[in-house]
Amino acid sequence: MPSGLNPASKKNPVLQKRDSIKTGWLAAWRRRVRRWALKRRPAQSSFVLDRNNLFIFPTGAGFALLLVIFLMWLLGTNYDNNLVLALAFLLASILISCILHTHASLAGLKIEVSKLQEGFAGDELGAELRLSRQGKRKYHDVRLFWAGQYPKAVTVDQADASYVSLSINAVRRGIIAPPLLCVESRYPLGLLRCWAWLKFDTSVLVYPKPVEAGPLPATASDEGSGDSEPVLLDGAEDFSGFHSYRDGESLKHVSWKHYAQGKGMFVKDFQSYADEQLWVDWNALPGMDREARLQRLCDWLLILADGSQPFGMRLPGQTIAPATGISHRLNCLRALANFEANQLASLSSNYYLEGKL
Amino acid sequence: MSLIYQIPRPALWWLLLAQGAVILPLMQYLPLWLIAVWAVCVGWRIQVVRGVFDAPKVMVKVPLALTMVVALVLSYGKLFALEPLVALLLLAFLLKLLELQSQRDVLLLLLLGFFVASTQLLFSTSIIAFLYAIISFTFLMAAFMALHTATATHSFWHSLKTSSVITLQAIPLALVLFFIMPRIGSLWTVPLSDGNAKTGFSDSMEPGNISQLSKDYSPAFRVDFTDKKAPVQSSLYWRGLSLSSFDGRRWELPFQDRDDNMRYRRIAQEQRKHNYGWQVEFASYRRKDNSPYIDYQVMMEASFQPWLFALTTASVGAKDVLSTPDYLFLSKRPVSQRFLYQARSYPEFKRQGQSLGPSERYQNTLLPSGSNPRATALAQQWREAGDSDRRVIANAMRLFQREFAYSLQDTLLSELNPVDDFLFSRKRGYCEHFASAFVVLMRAADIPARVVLGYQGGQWNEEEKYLLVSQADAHAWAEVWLPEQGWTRVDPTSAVAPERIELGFRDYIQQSSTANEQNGFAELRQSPLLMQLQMQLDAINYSWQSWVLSYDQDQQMIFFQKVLGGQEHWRIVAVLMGASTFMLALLALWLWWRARPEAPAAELVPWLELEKKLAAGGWIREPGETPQQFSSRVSRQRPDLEVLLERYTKMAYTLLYIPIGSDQHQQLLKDLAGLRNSIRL
Repeated sequence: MPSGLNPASKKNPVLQKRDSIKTGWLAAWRRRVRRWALKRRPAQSSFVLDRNNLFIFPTGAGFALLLVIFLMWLLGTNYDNNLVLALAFLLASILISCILHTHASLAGLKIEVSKLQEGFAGDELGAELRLSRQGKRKYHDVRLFWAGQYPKAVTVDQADASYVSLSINAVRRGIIAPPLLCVESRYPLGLLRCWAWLKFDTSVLVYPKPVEAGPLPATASDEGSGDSEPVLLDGAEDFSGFHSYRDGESLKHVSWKHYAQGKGMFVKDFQSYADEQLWVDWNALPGMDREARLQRLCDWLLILADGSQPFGMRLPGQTIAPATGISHRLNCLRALANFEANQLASLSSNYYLEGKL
Repeated sequence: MSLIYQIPRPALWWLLLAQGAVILPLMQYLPLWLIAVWAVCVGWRIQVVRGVFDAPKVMVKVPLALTMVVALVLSYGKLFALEPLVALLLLAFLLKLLELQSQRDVLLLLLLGFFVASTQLLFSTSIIAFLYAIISFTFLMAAFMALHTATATHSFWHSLKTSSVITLQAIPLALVLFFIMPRIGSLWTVPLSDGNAKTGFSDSMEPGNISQLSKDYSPAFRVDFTDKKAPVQSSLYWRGLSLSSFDGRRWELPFQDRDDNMRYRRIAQEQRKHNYGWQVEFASYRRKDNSPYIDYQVMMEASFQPWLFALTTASVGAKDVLSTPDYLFLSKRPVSQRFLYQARSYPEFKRQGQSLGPSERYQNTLLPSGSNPRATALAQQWREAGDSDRRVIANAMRLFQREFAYSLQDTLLSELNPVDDFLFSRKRGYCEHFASAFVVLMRAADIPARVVLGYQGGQWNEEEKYLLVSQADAHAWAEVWLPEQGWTRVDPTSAVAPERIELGFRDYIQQSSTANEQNGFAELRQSPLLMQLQMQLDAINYSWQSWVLSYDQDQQMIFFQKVLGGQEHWRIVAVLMGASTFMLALLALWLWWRARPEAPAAELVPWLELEKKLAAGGWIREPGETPQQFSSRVSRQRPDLEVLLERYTKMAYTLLYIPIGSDQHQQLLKDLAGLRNSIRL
């Protein structure tokens, strides 16, 4: 069904998402074709659209035009009017030559995934596609969408490449691949639809979805959730040294003395905090299943990462030493995302076809 | 960048443009108030788009549509004829404009548009109308394209440009389909146009109604003689219909024959029972070997009359056409579109030993009592002098020749006794006056006589070898009954203006002397250049007709026989497939050519050559890596190439700033090639 003519999308396209489970023999048949296409084509990192992966079929408008051609033929035949017949043949000829035009409106287009952004489960992950042309032809009105989503139309007329930003649903934690990408075109007249379903071999890491877990347990933090003012002891043994300021670090520990002397921006490290450190600890959440624990750990991690105190993370068989900063946060998130990732259920073919688990 | 689910604005503009293009030609045939309906619908739609009005509610739309339909039916008085049906279709096409919500509505409207645009060809089959229909198709396609294009990166005209290209490219395949797709002939009877614009003369004759036609050079029919030889003008009397009922002023068909359908049915019934006497004789005459005949093909323009035209005495081969007792040809339905028929005429056929039936004699000698007394008296005077029929005819002709003048000047004859007025005071007139007066004289002398309407002469087109008979060639003459040879043609006009008959109307007008200026011919005279041009245009029209319009089942069979060498199904299918594939292959070739790889800019060529060479050695430039970065990356792994690569890169950069074609440029290219060859991987 062309999305633009979809009666469901007619009234409020923004609020009504494509129904992933459509009933009716047409939808069932369409799913079968896609499943067949999925099996037939191996995953690749880039595709050049050609005879091997493009399908073509008339749209509703095409079939309706066929009916009009038939009616015109009847009119011309019954009135013995050769000119009406000639017009009917002209329309038929246009319909037939549109097969070539529409096929050419995708053939030769190269598509690859240029960027996939990591993110939290349940979020939309940015997925950027790179479309490049192999020859002189410009590609008008190419529509792209991941299975189960709305299409976006682009014109590929840049000399080197055009980029399209789409997003995929992060359906679960762990490593996921994008669902099938549909590339379609109805150019020029909308009488035929040419399309390809592409399976990319790229994948992306998805962090657990943060679920509120309350304040950090006492064992993890001596001073509550870490938002109390830290005590600075000048010359105390707790002070361990300086490191240079990194973007995003809290300004609380900046050595303003050095800064005022023009020596640069340094941050004081306090060794003493190491003993009363903040830990995102697997064992702090007994009696929960794995995913529930990870989701809550993720929540704590995000809270602590917003603060300035160093924190560490303890997972079974894995410990990340306390630290601060963006890369530390990323390390922790990735550890959560990867935690026993091989034990997660693999993505079903239904996911590839519908974009949902 | 994002998809548009509403109707794209350009699609709406294209829709309105296309709709205007579709409607325009139909307005020649349909009530003009439909234009006003369209204007209202367009206005409303635009106001809706601008957000000023609401979309019309059901309470408005339904009564509006019903009112329009009723208005249409009332203005036509019926529904099941071509015009009201097309008008109804057009009305739906216009009113749908009030109900455009989704893309699907626009789609429906556009599809309807293709159909409506093709109906104009039911009314006119000229080349212009056909080309116009193709242009309106292109507009509809532009709207189609604008509707289905979600990216708004194109200019407004992009869709028209592309759809024109697509249309032009589709024409070769359409031609193949047109000539090869088998024709099957009408499947069922359809309502025909009842022609509110009847052309040519009507089925009655009053003084003045033929001379009106003298200004009308539109074609009546064209004749293609089988021997392709120019015929003798004076023999070309194209008989159409005969009028035998006279009320003192107006000549008409006999009362019982005035209804077209009844007349056809009566004659068809009579012929089912027995052939007319003349038909039996004619049939045996035709069987004789030495009977001279002329074969020709008449391509008639729509006249909205049932009469076909032929030279005397003819047999016509066409479906649903009857021969009447008066040797005329009657079509079952009025000729409402161009009509082609074959005819064979035997100019020398005469009936032997026959007599006129009493009722026919009565009908053909009847004069309204008391009217035109002077003419009656004159004829009776001739008769009483003991003259034979032939002498009486000769007397009348001599009268015309001596005292009368041929003139187009509108002669207002007295209401009471127009023939007397014409014969004894005006003495100038057009063929209808002479024919009418002549028949009155004959009848008064008790010679059965009638008026015949038709065309005389025609213009021979020397290049295309056909005869063009135009409305201006319309003519009226008389037929009298002579016992020894039956109905005999007598043309009183030939006595007054023999050149009119010998030259044909047009040439007569061109050549008539200045003395005739007062006759009203001068204003009809055309410059020779214009006439030449008209003839050439008509020749194009004629080719159009014989090649395109009359390409029917029979012609197709001849075409298959000639071009394909047979009519077997496999042959037709094979040629159809072969020719279509060939046409599509040409299109595919064009599309491939359009998508060919772009030639790199000349100044980049040396660099690309180097990249190619390095790629063979396993070094591939990363996307985003500059040539310098790339060459230094390679140099790190192959220090032996460092100097060469550095020089090459520097020179390749230098090349960018030197005008192409200069000596320095050439030298640099040569150096680069040498350097490249010295790189050994």
